[in-house]
Amino acid sequence: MGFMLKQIVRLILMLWGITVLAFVFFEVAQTTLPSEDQTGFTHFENYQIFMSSMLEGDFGTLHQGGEPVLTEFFHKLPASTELIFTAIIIAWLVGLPLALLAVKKPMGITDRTIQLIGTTIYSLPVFWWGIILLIMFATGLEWFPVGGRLDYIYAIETVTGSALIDTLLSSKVYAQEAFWDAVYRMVLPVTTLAMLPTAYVTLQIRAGMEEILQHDYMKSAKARGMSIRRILWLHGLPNAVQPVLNSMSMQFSMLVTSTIIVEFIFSWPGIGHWFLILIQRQDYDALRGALILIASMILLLNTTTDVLRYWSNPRLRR
Amino acid sequence: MALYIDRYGEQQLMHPIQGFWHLYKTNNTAMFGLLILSLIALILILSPLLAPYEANAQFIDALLSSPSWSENGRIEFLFGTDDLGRDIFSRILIGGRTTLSTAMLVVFFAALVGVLAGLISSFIGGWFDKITSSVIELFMTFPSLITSLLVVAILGPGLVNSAIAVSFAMLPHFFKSTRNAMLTQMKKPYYAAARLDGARGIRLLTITLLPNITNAIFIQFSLSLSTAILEISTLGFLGFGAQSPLTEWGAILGESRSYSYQAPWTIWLPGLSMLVTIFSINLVGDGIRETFESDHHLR
Amino acid sequence: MNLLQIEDLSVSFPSLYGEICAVSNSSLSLKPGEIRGIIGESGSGKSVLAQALLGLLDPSATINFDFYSFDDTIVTKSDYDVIRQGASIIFQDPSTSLNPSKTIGNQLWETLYLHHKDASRDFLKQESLKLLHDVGLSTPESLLRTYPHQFAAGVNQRIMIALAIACSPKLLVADEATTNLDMTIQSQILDLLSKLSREREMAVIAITHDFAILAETTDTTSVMYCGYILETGPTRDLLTHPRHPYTKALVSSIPQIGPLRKSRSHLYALKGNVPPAHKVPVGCPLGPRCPRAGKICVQLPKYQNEENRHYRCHYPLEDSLWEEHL
Repeated sequence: MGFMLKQIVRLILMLWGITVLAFVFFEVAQTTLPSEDQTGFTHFENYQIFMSSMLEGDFGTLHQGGEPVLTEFFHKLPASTELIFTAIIIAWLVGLPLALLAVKKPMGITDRTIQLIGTTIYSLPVFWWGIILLIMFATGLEWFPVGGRLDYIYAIETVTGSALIDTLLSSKVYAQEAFWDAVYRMVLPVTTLAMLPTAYVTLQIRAGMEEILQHDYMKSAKARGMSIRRILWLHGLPNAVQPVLNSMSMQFSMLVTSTIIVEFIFSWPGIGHWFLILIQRQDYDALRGALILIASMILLLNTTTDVLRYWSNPRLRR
Repeated sequence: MALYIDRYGEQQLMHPIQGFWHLYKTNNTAMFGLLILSLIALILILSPLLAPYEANAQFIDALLSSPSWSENGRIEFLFGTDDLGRDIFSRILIGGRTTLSTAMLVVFFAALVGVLAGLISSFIGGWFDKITSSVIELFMTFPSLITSLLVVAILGPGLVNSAIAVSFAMLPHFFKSTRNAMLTQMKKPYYAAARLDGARGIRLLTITLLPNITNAIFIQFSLSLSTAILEISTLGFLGFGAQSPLTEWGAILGESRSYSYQAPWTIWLPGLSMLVTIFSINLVGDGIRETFESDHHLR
Repeated sequence: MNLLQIEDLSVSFPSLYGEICAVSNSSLSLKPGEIRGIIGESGSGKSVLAQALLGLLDPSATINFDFYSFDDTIVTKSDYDVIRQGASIIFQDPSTSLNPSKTIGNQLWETLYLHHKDASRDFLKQESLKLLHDVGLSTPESLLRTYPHQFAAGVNQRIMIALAIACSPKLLVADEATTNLDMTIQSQILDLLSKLSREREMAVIAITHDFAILAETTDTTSVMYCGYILETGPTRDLLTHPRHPYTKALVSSIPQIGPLRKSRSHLYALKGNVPPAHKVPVGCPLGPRCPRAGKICVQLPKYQNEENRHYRCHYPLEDSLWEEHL
């Protein structure tokens, strides 16, 4: 139980730290800007006002339109989560088998090819690759739509905010049709988004497996007459996955960065797109709220994976 | 009486740099990367001489002209022209110069500040280090693009501001890798021995520890270069980076996006040159890392 | 009848200096139930030899042999299944030779299951408890649900041995299996190994650089230097009457305590250092360091057989000469 308590305390401390960091950042910024409304408060008083309003759930309002940032954030969140989670699932589904395929014969032809493709993907500017996919498959071959989440002809009631789940839940006659439209529209953005994490998972697990194969326990398992496949999947993988799970927070960060670009290119109405608009409007009040909310989301996810990792790893759990 | 004299005297040891090169040479992919990278560097350094036109020279009679090898292409515009009739080949050459030199400056600046902070923080240790590293860790929960976008939002768009933004977002990585390397080294017996011998302060830091963490810094440096190029061009692409008349790879792609369907070459060619550049940098970076990692095989 | 026989085994690795031979033209034969010690300085190729026998080396290694049979079956370079089914290996560091993310029971069950495919759960459990009991662990019941990191090295090595004998091997390779352990634990593990070997008629290849282990546990001994097996023979005979000058040098380097202690002048030390792997001399590897070497030593000596002794030397030490040196 000590672990859980520690994690919760840590999470609260870090959440508080984020508010301070965001506050300081924008406070410093505003002193450099020609400000319209000098309130005459000290920084500390400003912080008190900021914190107390935030604890009441007020993360600021949009300069244009005047909606609360919090509502707007949760309104945009499902679209982004849909992209990110599909990308992560694809990354693991594709990356794991590829890594195992590569490590079957280290430095063989397959392994080298997989590594080369991985390095190429690492070098790929996401924004360029997104446009290339658009040129080739959307405007060129016309296989996929250019952007958006769902065709406007479908009036699907919002339940969870996720287009995939909502269309499945919907009782409209065209619900199924709408579901496939939603899937269809996700193909290109998700492909663009999933490239980098797929390469990451593949290369990291491959490297981990290669190292683990040198361990004595793999050798002795082999000597006891176990098949290669059994050794790779049952003995190597659980240990090779650990460091990749360790770097989950980095992966989330990486994904959020790509998501902003992908949402911009494919006009995807998610957090990233919204954030860019706020930046263009220079809506600092809303930006501060959005920054805190995004960082808190990432922190929450990190803590969750930490806890999951703790429960799945016997070496950590004593 | 022995018939042979002892033939196994001490081996001639190589200087570390010589040894590094000796190992690096054996890595074919890394050597290939280095070759391509040197070629690109040479071309970009000489680009004012090599570029046939000014980056912003407009040819009204040749708007959206195809690349020279296609049917309606014109030989005087090797890679074709954009919607304003500007020669893409010249723009790639001159834009690449901007992107690459900015990226190098960015990494250099981030490394300077990040490494210094990391050194000092880990060397002082205790509460100071704990607080500093937690703040940095907190800072790293903000995705890099969000951080740099915010900085640009406040400072305003432009090449210099985007460079500041990217180095700001990159700082924590240098801090972290320096600190990690320092903490590993400070656990080793030689450090304890040096302290027992009476070494302290700046001397302990610079003479005892610093030489042993240069590898880690160097690896981080080489890995950051490609990230810096990607982030600077991303900001350029989104319109927050270099503003016209300055040319920059990301900005070229950002401008071409609106007519990418009519003129795909305006997307393909600048992007491909970016890809090749970053790819070769990554190959070299991987080569450097692998060489350092396999260093212990070199006796 | 030999349990294991391998002729002319060579193993080489690519390196910065070209191909390095880690094991050169070595032959080895082993009778059922025999405990064979392999001794040599570090880098002499003992571990590589042992791992090559089981096909455990890195794919970058080039392995060549003329003939290899195990338990009357031919082993080929592409198929080590025969020997892997009938052999096991234990390593130096017990903390890394057990899978850290699986319970001990789990690892035992898995190995047992692979060798008794249609056994019931109860049988497997009884069997694993018996194994743990056999290796001298008390309260085996509670061990099954624990992880390797929870134990001391000695206990882990016992578990490792239990795991190794779970597939009832005919051959157990112990690669420096006791080097990392404390003195008292070391002798316990050695006793355990020889007991198991006797009870189960299991041959053991014990790789070591410790003469005490050799003298105490092994029946026969091979001496390795620079990738070559220089001498093989019954342990006692080999240690008291070495034929090869290198064996003699090794034996003389053992520090003695008490009445047997020799004065320093009698220590038979070789000149120079062990050559690096890429500079092993042509011919007899010991050549340049050997006090008895002659011109012919630039040629690799063939194995000379003498009752149950084999050695590679042009100028072997005679029994009479040995007395003189003493």
